[in-house]
Amino acid sequence: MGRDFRWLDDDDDLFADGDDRAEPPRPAQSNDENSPASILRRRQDRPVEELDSRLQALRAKALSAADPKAAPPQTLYDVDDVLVSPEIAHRPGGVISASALSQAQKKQVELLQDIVGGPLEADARAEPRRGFLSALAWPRLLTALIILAAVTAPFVLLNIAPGDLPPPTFGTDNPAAERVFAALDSLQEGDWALVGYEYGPTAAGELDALADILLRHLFFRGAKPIIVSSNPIALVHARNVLNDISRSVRPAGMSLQANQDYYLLRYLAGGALGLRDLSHNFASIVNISARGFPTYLELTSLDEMALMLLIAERADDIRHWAEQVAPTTTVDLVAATGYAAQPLAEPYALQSAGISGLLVGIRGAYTYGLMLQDRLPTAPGENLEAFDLLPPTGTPQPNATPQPTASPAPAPNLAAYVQLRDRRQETPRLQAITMGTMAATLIIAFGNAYFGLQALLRRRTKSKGQ
Amino acid sequence: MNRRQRLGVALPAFIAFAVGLLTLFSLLMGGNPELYGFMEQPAVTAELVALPAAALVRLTALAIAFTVLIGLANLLYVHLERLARRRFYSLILLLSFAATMGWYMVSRGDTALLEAVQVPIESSLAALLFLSLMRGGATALKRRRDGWGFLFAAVMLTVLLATLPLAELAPLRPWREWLMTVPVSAGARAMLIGIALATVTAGLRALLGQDRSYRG
Repeated sequence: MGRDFRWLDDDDDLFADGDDRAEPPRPAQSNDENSPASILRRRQDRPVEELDSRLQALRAKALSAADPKAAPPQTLYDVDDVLVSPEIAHRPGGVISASALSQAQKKQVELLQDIVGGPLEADARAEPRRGFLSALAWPRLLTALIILAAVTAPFVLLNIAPGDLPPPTFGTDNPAAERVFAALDSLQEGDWALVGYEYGPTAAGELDALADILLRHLFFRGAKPIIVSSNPIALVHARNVLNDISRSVRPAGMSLQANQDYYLLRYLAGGALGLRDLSHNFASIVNISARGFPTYLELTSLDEMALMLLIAERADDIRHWAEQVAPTTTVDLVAATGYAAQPLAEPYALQSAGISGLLVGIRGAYTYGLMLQDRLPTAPGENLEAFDLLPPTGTPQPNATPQPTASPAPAPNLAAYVQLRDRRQETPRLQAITMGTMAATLIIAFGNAYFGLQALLRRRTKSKGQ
Repeated sequence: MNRRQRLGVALPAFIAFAVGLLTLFSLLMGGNPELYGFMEQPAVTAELVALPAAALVRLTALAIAFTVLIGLANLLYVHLERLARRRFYSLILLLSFAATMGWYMVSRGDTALLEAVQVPIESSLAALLFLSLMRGGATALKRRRDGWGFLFAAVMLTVLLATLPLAELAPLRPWREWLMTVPVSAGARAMLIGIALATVTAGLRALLGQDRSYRG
């Protein structure tokens, strides 16, 4: 019995003769009339016409897949010739079949291709060119123009003010964000705050506002941020954000000095592993700055931090910090992120499972800024030198008539970090975001109403025809 | 497979198993003096137990950092080769690389190029993603016209409308809150549990030498 059966090889063509009968694999000849192979050989197949439509479609797909000429080249535009050598790329079936895959793995690849509706898109150069205003292009162009008009309107037209501005406090509506504010506001002068700066230029539009206000709050409290990142571009961007803050307080006669007011450490390679390295080998990592110079920090453990603050773009980064860093220390970790990562960040933050507070999005940054300005005793721009927000020093004796000394060393007015922010500039931006969201929602609602009605009408027509 | 080949296959698997087990033990048992209260110097013992994990993690992080350099060198090499085949897009890449490095060195660490070039480009890509997502949302019922498609569209519109800061849409906000805190949160937790299980499985495969890369 075993002699009569043979496995099919790659070269076996199931439908090579082009016959209109769906032929099964032909077993080897046998003299035994009762053998399974002989029974199989004597079996008469149904004609193709008798197959139902599903099987006919399956057969047509199998025929086209069996024809190597019909298989489209599996190339990624202008990338394959970089990643893959020409000898491999030009084999039938492309890269996937040329690599060392078992038969089972090849079948899984084919199954996946079938699920996603066929192989990867063919070379874009082979597609027919579409005109700029073709029937397929104009809806996209129209929607893009509508969105563009919606987001520019608040900057151009002064009387457009859609929606409400964010509330002045988080209150009971957003306890997780309230906890972020409370954690930063409880810092004292000279406290160390480890800042995980985990976002690049892609998220700068949304997260720069958060990073700016949170760093200002740290400087306002007199804390010293130590900034680390597992994203090398993020470190460069962090330096630029810090330079912007430094420039903004220059009119008050202040500036930020690297390795004095803040510390920018080197890039942590290895993603989650790099973060684990940070928690295990903190003392050696804080010793070297981003530019490779010694920082002379004498810190040995994460436990010496007063707070850990994470500003992250991706949910994965929040997960890595909550899983690799937070459990290794008793210091609180609070996070700030964008709306995209919020759903995956909340399981860690809502039950304080690693993250004790969560601030989200540009609206969160706006409210945070308002709360921060409320901590100042005077209105913005008034009497910058009149108050000192530094904590009490070791000589708390009041002196009703202060005498200037020979070499006055004015105490740095940390309120400048918060006062010089003009929050009115952010209002049109928030309104533009509201307008854009509104336009997008209307387009989505219109599109779904159109296609939903189309589906219902077709179903009704079909039921009437039957 | 002769004896030498068998040894060649078994040795990496054994090393991976031993190192993995040592790291796991060190991570689990190290750094916690309370576990060693019965010994004379619990703090020192806990530090000693934690040492292998710290050293191996540091070693791996260094190796990964080195691969970044190798990747950079490989990128330059590949594009130099492409340039030799008159692929002029590679010339643009190489010139950009040289100009960026040159600017950084000449201007003594100025990173203004990042803000002037990289941030606008990547922000534009994010905006394009928004347009694509919006188009995908608008055509959701074009591809799937069954009950699930309608449910998806209804949920999407409810969440979007309730996100808008308009007083007229305030009645939708409790629905949005419920959607975000119950189904979305449940889905997010399910994903996180799935990630954790997959990580444990991958770790076990590596520890037991069942990973394909250790089987030769």
